Amino acid sequence: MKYLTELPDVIAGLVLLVLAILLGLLAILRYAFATGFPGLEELATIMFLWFAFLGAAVAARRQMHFRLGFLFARLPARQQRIVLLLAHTCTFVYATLLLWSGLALVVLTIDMQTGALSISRSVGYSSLAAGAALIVVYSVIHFAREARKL
Amino acid sequence: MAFLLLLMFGILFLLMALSIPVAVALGLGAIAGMNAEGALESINLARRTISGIESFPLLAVPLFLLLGELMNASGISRRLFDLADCLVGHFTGGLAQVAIFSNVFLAACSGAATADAAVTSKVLVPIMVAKKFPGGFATAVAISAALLAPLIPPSITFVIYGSITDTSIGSLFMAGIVPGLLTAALLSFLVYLVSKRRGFARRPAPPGLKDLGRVLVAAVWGLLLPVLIIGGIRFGVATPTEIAAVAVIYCLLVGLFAYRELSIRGIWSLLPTVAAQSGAVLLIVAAAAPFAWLLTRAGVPQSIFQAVHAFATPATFLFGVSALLFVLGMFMEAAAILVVMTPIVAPVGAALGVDMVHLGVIITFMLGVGTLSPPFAQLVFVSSAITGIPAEDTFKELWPFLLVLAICAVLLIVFPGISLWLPSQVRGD
Repeated sequence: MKYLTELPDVIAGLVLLVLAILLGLLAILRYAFATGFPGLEELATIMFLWFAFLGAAVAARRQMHFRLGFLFARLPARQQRIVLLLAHTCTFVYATLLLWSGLALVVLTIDMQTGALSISRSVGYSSLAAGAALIVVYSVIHFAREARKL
Repeated sequence: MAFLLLLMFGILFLLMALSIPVAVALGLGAIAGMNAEGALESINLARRTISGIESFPLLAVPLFLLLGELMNASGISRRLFDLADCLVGHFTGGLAQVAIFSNVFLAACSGAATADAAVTSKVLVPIMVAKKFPGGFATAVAISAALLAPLIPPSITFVIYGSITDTSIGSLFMAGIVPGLLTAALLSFLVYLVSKRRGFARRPAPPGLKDLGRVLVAAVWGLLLPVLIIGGIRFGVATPTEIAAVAVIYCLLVGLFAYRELSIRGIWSLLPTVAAQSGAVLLIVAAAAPFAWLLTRAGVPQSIFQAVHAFATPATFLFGVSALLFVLGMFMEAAAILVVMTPIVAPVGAALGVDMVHLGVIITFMLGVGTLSPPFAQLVFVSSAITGIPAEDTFKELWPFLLVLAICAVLLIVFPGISLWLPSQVRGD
């Protein structure tokens, strides 16, 4: 179960490492041997979209998204829990709307091809729906945990 | 338009005050605005959100965050602290000068003030406190010096600003160097004055040549990192994104084979943390894209321009923007201010004849100052969480540093050449 929970962390970490090594080595190769890979920028941008939205999901699971804490810190413990329930509810609503809109975008772009790699545009765009779906799941889990403490 | 602004900013500020994540507050504010404008079609939200981060230059953000973490884990940061101690530890102010000087080195390798404030707070502040520096003063020095990170290249703020405004990130990187060094010099002078008056400890004598040579040799791999980054940009060898990737590979090799302080397991444990840090920043950038799109669509920048163009000069405009960013910085997260305000103020600035590179430096500088301003004061609380020194102690010692930073801001606005001279030399103007 632990491995399944941390799968997005592992995938996002791997994508970042592959991106760093791929971009770095190709920049060195281009400078040293004047060779290039025309689809690299497009491939890197697609991988970056996946990294960004998976990273956003990982941040949601670890509750690392930036928030202002100066009012929150002054509340009594019970009211802090109520505020946290509200935060998880708002996150759920936002991520659900992103998921709905993201899926519509995937359906619309499934037959559209990218310029250099000639793959479906939905390959990159589906990252938003995937990340949003994970955030929906995590916000429900966090809400349930917090509600039990009330 | 007034209703739209009230609705979007009302929801944004209300939700942020309720401690809702900033990205979610931005997203829900934008969705309410889209709904009010009849623009909430099925794909519009997703298309606008993705457009915020579908950008090759933005890839530099996670790469520079990874670089900062690798520098700390590989021992590069520690060796740079040792070198700074050897070079300036005997100056009046001792370790406080070391904090500023080492942050110049760190800033030339990493791009985020939070990372540099964290490592300085972890490594240097406890030693300063042990040497009888007041905890609040030690923290104030560490976090003020960390503001050099977004100014001296590489800089994540410049990357985001450049990708929003289509300004050359290479030019922005070059433009930050002199303002960064000027800020370091003024902070160092302040530390000198305060330390002289309060009699803080310092190293009794400069180290011998043998000791200096040993520390210099140990730090040489770290010193080559800024040469690689700044040199790569200066000579146009690669894009900032590619240079960030090369710097990550360099740092991995140094940590694994030269310093041998990095292990595969250590690297592996860093990656998900960097993914979460990056995801938190990038979701703000993505969520702000529909927000900014609505404001632009409603003609907010044009309305501001109409209101101010009769009396505003580039300098008065920059003073106004600085004051606004300072006030917003008291209540908002820096990345959120950057991505919401830049699309509004940049077109107005451009119409008034402000150089976009100069505006980028001013925005970056003032966003940094905002991270020190109470009550939000992000860097104060980051440092406090690491050192255990109460934030109130830091606030008491912080005001002279804020005063010096305000003087810096005035100099940067009044003398655009401080920012624009170096990029013009690089372009050969």
